[in-house]
Amino acid sequence: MAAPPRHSSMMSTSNAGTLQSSTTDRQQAPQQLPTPQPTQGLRVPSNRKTIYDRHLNRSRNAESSRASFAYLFGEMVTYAQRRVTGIQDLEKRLNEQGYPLGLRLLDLLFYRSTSTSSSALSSSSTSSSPPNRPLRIITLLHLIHGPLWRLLFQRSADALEHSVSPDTPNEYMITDNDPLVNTYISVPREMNMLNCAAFVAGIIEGVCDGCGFEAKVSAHNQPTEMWPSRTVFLVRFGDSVMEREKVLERNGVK
Amino acid sequence: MNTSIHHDQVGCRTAKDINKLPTALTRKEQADFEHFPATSTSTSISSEKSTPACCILCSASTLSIGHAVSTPDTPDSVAMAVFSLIIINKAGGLIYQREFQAGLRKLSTNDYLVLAGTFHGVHAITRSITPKLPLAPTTNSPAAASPGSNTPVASGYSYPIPGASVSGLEYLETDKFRLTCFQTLTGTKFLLFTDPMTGNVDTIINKIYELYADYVMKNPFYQLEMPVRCEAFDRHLGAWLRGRT
Amino acid sequence: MSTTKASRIGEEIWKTRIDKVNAELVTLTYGTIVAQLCQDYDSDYQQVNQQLDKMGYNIGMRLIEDFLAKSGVGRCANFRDTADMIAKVGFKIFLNVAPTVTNWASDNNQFSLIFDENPLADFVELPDDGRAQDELWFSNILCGVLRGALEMVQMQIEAHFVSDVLRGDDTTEMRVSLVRYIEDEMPPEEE
Repeated sequence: MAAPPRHSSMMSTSNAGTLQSSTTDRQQAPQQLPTPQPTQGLRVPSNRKTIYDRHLNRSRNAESSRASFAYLFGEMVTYAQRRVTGIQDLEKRLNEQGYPLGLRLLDLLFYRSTSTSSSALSSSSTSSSPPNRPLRIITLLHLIHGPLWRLLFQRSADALEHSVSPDTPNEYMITDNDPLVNTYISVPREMNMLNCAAFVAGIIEGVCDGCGFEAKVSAHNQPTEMWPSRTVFLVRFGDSVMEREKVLERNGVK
Repeated sequence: MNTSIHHDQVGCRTAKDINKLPTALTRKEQADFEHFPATSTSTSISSEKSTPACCILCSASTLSIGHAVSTPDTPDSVAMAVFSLIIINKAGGLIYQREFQAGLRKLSTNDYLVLAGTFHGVHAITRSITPKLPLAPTTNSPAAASPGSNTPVASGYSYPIPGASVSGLEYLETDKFRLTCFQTLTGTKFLLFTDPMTGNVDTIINKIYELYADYVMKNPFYQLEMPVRCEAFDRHLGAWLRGRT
Repeated sequence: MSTTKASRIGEEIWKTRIDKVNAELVTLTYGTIVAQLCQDYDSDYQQVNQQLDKMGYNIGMRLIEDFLAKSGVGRCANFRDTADMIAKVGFKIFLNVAPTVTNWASDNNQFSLIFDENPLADFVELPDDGRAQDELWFSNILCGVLRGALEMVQMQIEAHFVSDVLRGDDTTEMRVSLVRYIEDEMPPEEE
């Protein structure tokens, strides 16, 4: 399994064990063991109602209320606000909350993309090899724009663009006309630069990093008459990614 | 009511110097990004010029106390006018006021505050003067079937939930307008000023309550019991009322 | 109001009036919150429980308005009705589950909610640090939600979990007790 290069401290990834949402962060990892079985230290119910006994796709099509998400996200924003020094800092915190989620979702995405359309791209892969991990930027961005967005928000993102400026070939933009996370949020006037979708930016960043594409992602308000909460996620890939991209391009890797 | 809201925004207010935009955007993007400070100033709660004030309460010609369940006086009447909306918090403070169309003359901000406070007091009094019915549990219960408004429960009941039984003032009418008051179980009051002929006021108020539950209560930047300044609430409320007719 | 009637109301509202999202989004977002708290409080699980309860309380005070607006229900006649309303309407329309109401105390002021499904805890395994399974109530936010929501409709309650499958228990059970009905201070009524 290809471990994310910059985050080798994250627990390594192997199906069910990766989605323990109970301990999520970038530093704390060592205490979590990526064992596929419950370790002897943990008690389990006699009826074995543990995550290992449930199918990972069990909740795939399950629904919850948008309200519940809104309240939880609202509390996350309120909580994050207590310890920050400014809007940038607040966005950074929201980004950091999304990041581990991105890392974990990535595995879920791969797992599902192979279990449903098994031979889409990974026809050559054996059962033990990793699923179709994107190698090129554009494949990665399509994964985010499509499957990731559908997993989270039940629809694709609205646009995917590449910067046309020769100075910033490493910049890409993903647009969401009406981000779910901002549905009920009205940012006070004195904080009008804030976009709480920084949380989603963090998720994207986690997915990029998890795939081995070092990137910084930020969320920007770009309202239109029709879409007052339209948001652009600016994805900026690191130099190493751009260099590798050139090599792959030359070698004809898709 | 213990409203322990922890909402420390102090740190955020000072941060105007944010420079969070990337330095190099494409030309198109730059143009678009420049728009956005402007849009956030577009909300204002009724700050148009106020015409000479008139006291709404003085012109009231009738005062009815009762259990106003949907009032289809004039179904599908041409006049569907919703003049304005006031929201009063549990303590009687005005937290929202907005006009939707000409019809009612405007009051000064101060008079709106007085109106809210006065109505709140009168409402409480009308509740306390509601006659109590003698305790007759078996014959009484069928009458309480109408949802949301139970008949008064006489004392001696094992759980006479305090305050539940009486509704207080529900509407107030003149030749020219009708004021409908909807008090939620949590104590918030929605006062809707409409044309007296407007039907289905209950439906309208319910929808407003839903929008309030969505765009005010789910907004983490809204502090409970404080004046409502939520751009998304204004927007959806306006759009919904416009789309209604 | 019977339990079955409450169930019908809950089902009906869930089907017709609720905006939905992918349940996994809710699960993962909640997991992120708990994980962040565990980190911020340095795995002091008592504090995490408290903070979760506080967050839930804040949510409950807001959520009650949505509950009332969507359900259009009036005040419950007694605490037994309240229990059904919470389990079969409240949990249904917000989390799409309907816990069982059971274990009533003889004075009808105390009951248990048994959760066969707990969407907040899908994907979750508590840290194997020898303490979390004894100290952390992962879903503690729900206790706060009930406390906040009911306080807004003049009921002071106490709620806590007594068991959780995440801790190795066979059930997930929350105990809810009515402390008192809060007097309405506005009209000085002489009951």
